[in-house]
Amino acid sequence: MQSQSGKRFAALAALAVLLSALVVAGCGGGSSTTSGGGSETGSAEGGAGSEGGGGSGEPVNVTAIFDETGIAALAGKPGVEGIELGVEELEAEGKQVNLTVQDTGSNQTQAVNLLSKAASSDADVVLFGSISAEALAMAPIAQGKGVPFVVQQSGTKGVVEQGEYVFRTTTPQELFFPSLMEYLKEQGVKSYSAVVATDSATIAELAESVIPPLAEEDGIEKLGESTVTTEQTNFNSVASQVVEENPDSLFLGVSIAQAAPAISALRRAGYEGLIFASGAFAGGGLVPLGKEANDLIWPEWFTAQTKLPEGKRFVAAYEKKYGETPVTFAGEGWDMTRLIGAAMDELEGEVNRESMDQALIKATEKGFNASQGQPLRFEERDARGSGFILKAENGKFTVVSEPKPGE
Amino acid sequence: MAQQLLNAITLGSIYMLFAIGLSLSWGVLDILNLAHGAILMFGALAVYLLAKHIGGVPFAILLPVAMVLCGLVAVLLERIAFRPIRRRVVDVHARELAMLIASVGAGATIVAIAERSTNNQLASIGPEVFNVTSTTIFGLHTTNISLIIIVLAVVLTGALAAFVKYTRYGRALRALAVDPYMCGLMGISADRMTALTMFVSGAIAGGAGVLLAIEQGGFEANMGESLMLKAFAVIILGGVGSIAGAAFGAFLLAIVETAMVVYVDGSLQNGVAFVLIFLILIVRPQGIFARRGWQRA
Repeated sequence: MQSQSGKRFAALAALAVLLSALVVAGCGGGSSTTSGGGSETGSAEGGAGSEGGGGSGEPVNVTAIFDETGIAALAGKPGVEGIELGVEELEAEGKQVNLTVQDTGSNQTQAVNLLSKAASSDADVVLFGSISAEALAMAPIAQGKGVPFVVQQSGTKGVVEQGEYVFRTTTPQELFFPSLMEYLKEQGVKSYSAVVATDSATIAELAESVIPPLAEEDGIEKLGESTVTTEQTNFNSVASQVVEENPDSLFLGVSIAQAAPAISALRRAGYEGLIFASGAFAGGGLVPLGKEANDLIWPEWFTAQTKLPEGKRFVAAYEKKYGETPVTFAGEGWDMTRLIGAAMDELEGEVNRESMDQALIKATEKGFNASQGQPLRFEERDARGSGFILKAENGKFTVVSEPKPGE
Repeated sequence: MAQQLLNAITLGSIYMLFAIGLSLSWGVLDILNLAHGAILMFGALAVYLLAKHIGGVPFAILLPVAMVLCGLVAVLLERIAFRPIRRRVVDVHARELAMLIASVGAGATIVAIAERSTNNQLASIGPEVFNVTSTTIFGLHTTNISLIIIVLAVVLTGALAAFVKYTRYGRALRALAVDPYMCGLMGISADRMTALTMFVSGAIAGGAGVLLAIEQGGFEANMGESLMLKAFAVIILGGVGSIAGAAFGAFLLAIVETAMVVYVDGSLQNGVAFVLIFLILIVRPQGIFARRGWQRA
């Protein structure tokens, strides 16, 4: 008897602690999201038709599956904020969007499960960001089930190539690297080494297939390569190796969460050369690094210093809503809603997955104004923006190159 | 080579600081506290929030304050989760499982608080709190924070080992590890000793978190998770409850991992921890330093 009640109590106590963890994780300001469940933001109120222009006027059900917690939260959370802002703007334009946000916890299995559930729900479109491995697992399922699937980041091959139901609203960052390598050449760089997180499909592809031929073309010799994983946080050994190789520049192919520890370790070990990185480093906490981040250059899809009118409009709206400057992922999330809005203008008849897919295809064929480009153009449902090249100097980011309106 | 050895010593010191607390709570109290990584991160979070909202407090005060806070978090965990389970559940296996699950929930709670506090972004303890400077010793590059980590790791480990071996409280801890019920009969308060153990465990973890956050140039809410696997490898290598064993295991793991980066393939680093755990469990499951079975304290 005592053992039974003791076991019951033990189970209750453990359950209570687990539940409290879920409550703390689930509650909070803004849109509340729970893993495996979801919450609805956006409203189904308002007039039945859209104001002005074409479109069916019916509401569109959008499910956003993002890495809001876990290791990729640095990208996922701003992405969701951009989407929520964009949905509010669509509503103000008279376009009804029922948004459900779900958290993958940066877990691939969870991401796939959530997509399968969304495919069985009434979702007309599924949005996803950012991990390539997750997108690679999800895209075939979305294509197979005929669910329009719009991704941001996830720049590796094999995502958009799944078929006509898969879209990507961010340019594969390999397309930014020719201008980045050109910049290095102009700076007199003659050699480079690489630190590569080989478990990231996008980064591995950049390191193995994109950068070496560009470097060879520009007469930049590769001196060495150190491999890490995206979970690694101690870079002292790698930094010492790089210092020993003494290249003019270093390709830092790590996740944005690793940016600060990697750069700190390199500078403290005595490496003084240029560092060029894979995209989105501005979200990686570079500002507190101050001078340690000097001479770091990297490509971005969007930056708050944009001169594009649409980008500036987004920055102002984001700062008003959230009280902070948007990072690239927020701009990308907002651009996803711009695509949804442009597609809704193309919609004819009833809203369903097939009509939504056709509308998305038309919208990408025409292009639309976005924070990343004005207009943001597409090739085979894959964005082709010019991108920004940023450089860190004394805790600030300066724009080395940027897209022009109409480009 | 010498530079990489110094890097390995710094890395081993971090592992040691993290693992000795966990080894202590596991060896003495039979508590496999999976919230230990979250407590480590909480130390960094505490200093970050204190510096942000108060400001101007010297690091020499912030560090011990963070350690005390983390020690108290560990004691709170013991009081509200582990102690009630220990008192009510008679079956040893059911009790250990329940405490394990409770620690998972507690850890998730702490991480969730950190995610909200940092808005899921990378946070850092800035130079106004601690200014990291590079230095060269006998031609080897290092930093002031790395030296502090090494010194603190050695001092704390030595102090803890001496405490456990030579002091009256240390003997009481060892007695608690062997037979908590007999301790009560001998006038040793098991509750008080348990709270003390958890406090020390949490405080060391919190201090390690602060130093690690400064050393890495930043921290994020899930910072402690990747270290948990390393801690298991360290503890299993050295023997559960053995402080000397934890120290040995920490440096062995660090040296092997550094060698992997330098001579083989850095992406296999995490695999090293798994392989070492596997090998030790087959060859000497009690750990290298344990005399027989699971050695306590």
